[in-house]
Amino acid sequence: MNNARPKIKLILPNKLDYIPLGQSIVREMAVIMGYKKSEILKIELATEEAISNIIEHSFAPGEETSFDLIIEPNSNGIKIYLKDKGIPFDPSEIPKYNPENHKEVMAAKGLGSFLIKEFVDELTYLNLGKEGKEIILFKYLNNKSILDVISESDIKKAKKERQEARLPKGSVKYSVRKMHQDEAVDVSKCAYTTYGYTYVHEDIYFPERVREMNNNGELVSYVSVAENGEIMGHVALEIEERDIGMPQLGMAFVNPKYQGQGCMKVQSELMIDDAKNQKLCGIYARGITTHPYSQRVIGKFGFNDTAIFLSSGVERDYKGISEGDSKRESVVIIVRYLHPPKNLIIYPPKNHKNIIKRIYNNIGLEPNIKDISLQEIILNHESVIKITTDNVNFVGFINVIEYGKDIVEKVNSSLKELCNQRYETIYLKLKLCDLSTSKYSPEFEKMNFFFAGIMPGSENKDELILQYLNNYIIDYDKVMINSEFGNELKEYIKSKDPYKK
Amino acid sequence: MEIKEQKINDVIVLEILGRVDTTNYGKLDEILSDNITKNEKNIIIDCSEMDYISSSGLRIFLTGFKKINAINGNYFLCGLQESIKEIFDISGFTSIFKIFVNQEDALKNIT
Repeated sequence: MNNARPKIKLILPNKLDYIPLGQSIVREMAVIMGYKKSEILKIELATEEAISNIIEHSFAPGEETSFDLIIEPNSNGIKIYLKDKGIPFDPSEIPKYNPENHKEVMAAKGLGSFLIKEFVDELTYLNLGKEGKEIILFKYLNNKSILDVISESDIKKAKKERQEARLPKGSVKYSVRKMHQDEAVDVSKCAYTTYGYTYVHEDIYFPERVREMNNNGELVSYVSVAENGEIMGHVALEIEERDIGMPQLGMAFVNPKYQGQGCMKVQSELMIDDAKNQKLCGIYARGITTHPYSQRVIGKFGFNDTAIFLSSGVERDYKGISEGDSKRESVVIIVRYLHPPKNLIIYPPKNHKNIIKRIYNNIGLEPNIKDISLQEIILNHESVIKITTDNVNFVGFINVIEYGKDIVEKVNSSLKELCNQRYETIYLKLKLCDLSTSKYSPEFEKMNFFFAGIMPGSENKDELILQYLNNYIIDYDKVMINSEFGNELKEYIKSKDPYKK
Repeated sequence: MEIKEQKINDVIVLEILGRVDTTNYGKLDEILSDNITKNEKNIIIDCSEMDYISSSGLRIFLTGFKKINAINGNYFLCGLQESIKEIFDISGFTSIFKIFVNQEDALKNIT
């Protein structure tokens, strides 16, 4: 079923009486899209909380104005945008709320914002400077997961195939191509057979999402198919919404009973060739660091390490190949340029200039590194930042879209708020091609952000990534890096970690 | 939202019908406050017909609880629909209130 429908925009007066009007439109759209009753209530509730926050906190007392409510139904779910030009957003002013803390529950401060966070799948705050601010709520359509449709006998079969993974097998004939629409269920089954229910990107377990994401270009799936039509393996190019022109190689797996047939190599090569033909700047992958296996595989395709995101997610048991016993895991970002930028000009902070140069050199690029006088940077306008959160892995992202005179205060207050909300790690994304990065990066490091690495992109979208650990001490011995350069990068990052053991 | 009020022996039973939200929570606050002012010590809120509640409504439930608790009274909720119970659970309210399956059970437990 294709749920793509046109956007609806409402301009609502900043009066509480109008909340039900906005809510009713959101509710009816959710009904049309096929959400369950219990999910509709959550969407309605999050909408009410977000609107009442705007009406009560964004405007001066007595000010009569309006704000925008935009409802965007798409194939995977509903997106609700709330945009106003009121008082700038200071996330640190939202009181923290912990349902397990009796005192905080009794005070009920911050309850509304807490409920928004609980009831939507993605929450984005965008500070637009002079243009005001925007809150984006997103809720997945509750498509059926593979576990809802898989039979008991298939579950048993999957377990058996995992157990027999290491038994010797004869050669199997197969072909490699893009996934057909009707194969999404089999791809989800294959993911389940390979990983159980532990794969980090849960979309893979929802056949309808896999199908729709392929339809709308968020995902390009490649499969290895046996002569009898069975899906043996899968790999995908994941195109992120905030496209840095460098899609991710992900959702890579081969049914254990077909491992050793070369599926991963052939399907990945086809994907990389297609990406090259499409003139993509490059591809990146995230390598798990609880074991070096996936890094080793991806390294064979010419990928090299550019960053290590510490404590980036909840550790999952990858059916026996995880050896770590810590609760959180780190990933290494591994990049391969396909069409490297011709003349990349970057403005790294002085203290990380050498390592950044070495990272670029390691992926085959000689960037044009500019030294500038910091006094030359004078900013008069307001900053634009975007805050996004990942509530599965408990991480937050602060993305500096435009530097302004208030950038240090804005990043500081956003950091405090994300810490209050108990996000474990906060990543700060800074544009390497913006000369203000060289000036302000040391300011952010005074807040205990420290170096994570770089995220190359196309058309000057390269980013310097800093990371902040919210009361979490990394055991660097358990961060297993495969490559020599990656280990050098790890030592560099460790030397900058203000909380290292 | 509609609120039906009745007195059963020395217990005030408030039956909420419909939605409690930012636009109407004041009405519930008013009725609760009136009863507390009249020295009513036993209040049951029957939520079996309440199909929506946001943080504004939850706060009023909490205010009532604090006031009745301060005078050692009984403040019970009953009949929470499944989706409403989920909101109470997530908010941590389930551990604060005494919640019963229905009005009859709540009445039996008034001391």
